[in-house]
Amino acid sequence: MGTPTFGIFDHIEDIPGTPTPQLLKDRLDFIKMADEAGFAGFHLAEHHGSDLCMAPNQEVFIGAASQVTKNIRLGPMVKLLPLHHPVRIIEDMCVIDNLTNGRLDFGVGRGVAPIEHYWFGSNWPESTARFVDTLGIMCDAFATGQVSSENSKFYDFPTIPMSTKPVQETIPFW
Amino acid sequence: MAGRHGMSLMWPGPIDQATHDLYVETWHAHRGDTHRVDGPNSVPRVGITMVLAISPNESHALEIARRGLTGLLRRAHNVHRHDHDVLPEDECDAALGPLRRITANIEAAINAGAGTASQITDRFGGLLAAGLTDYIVLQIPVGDMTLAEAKDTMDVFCSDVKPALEAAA
Repeated sequence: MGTPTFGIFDHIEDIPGTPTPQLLKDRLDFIKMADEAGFAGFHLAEHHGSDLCMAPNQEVFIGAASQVTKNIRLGPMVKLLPLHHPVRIIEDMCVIDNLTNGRLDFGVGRGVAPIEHYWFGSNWPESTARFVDTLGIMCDAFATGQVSSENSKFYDFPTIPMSTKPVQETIPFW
Repeated sequence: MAGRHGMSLMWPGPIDQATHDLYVETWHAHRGDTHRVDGPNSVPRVGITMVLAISPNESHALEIARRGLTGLLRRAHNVHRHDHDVLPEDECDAALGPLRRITANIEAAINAGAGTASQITDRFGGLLAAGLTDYIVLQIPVGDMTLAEAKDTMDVFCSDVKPALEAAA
């Protein structure tokens, strides 16, 4: 077998009695510790509106983690594609890949909690189709360098150039 | 889905041979399709997530892992309680399917990821030796596991378990 590697998967759950600023700082310290110990990856879940996930906007937290780590790969596990506009997803990915100097690992998913789709103005019955649709926009964008809704069933926006390009030639997807 | 689109696969817990093979076959079968995220040097890759709690006392490790995962599931249910605001009862019930599957397997997850350093080294070594994954993703901290417990587990994992697993590779 090849050399094994190890990562961390985290929801950043609320801890009663721990102020949120302290909770987030403690997690950043923990990731720094993992980085220094040679862990290969840190993966952050996405959930909304509950104590399950206190950093639901993953990119903000990962951006902070990028500045206190050197080698560990960072990214969402998973980003709920149907909830978010594809231009925002792609722009956030590109900035994080630059902030981490090419350490972005990007997990994608549909999302299993129906209410989260409605909180973002989307809906549950279309969630699988929306996942595939957004993934297609992302694939086209990384192949062409511009984000287009030309082949989308759900979005209609003028084509926008990717002004910030990713560092990695191929961003690893999970 | 992961194989079709050229992604790596993150699997909850130890992956079985049939699921692994289906993923790898699908990954290769759809190479060259549109809407692929792999690059020219990409290969199929499987990671597995495992709760982890290490203590010199096995029963203490089991208690930590059980408390952790129970806390995670309680919080996950908290998200779903809002489903009733937007969906009829039968669809809310159906949406709980994935969570029910996790709950049904909670004891297996606890028993796989909790123990002494020696027990974890043996179990994880067995998982890696099977050759279906080379990436173990640890759920620490998780749910109601305290940060201190997570740090203790991390310390022992890094000092005892990780070096042994790397040396055995």
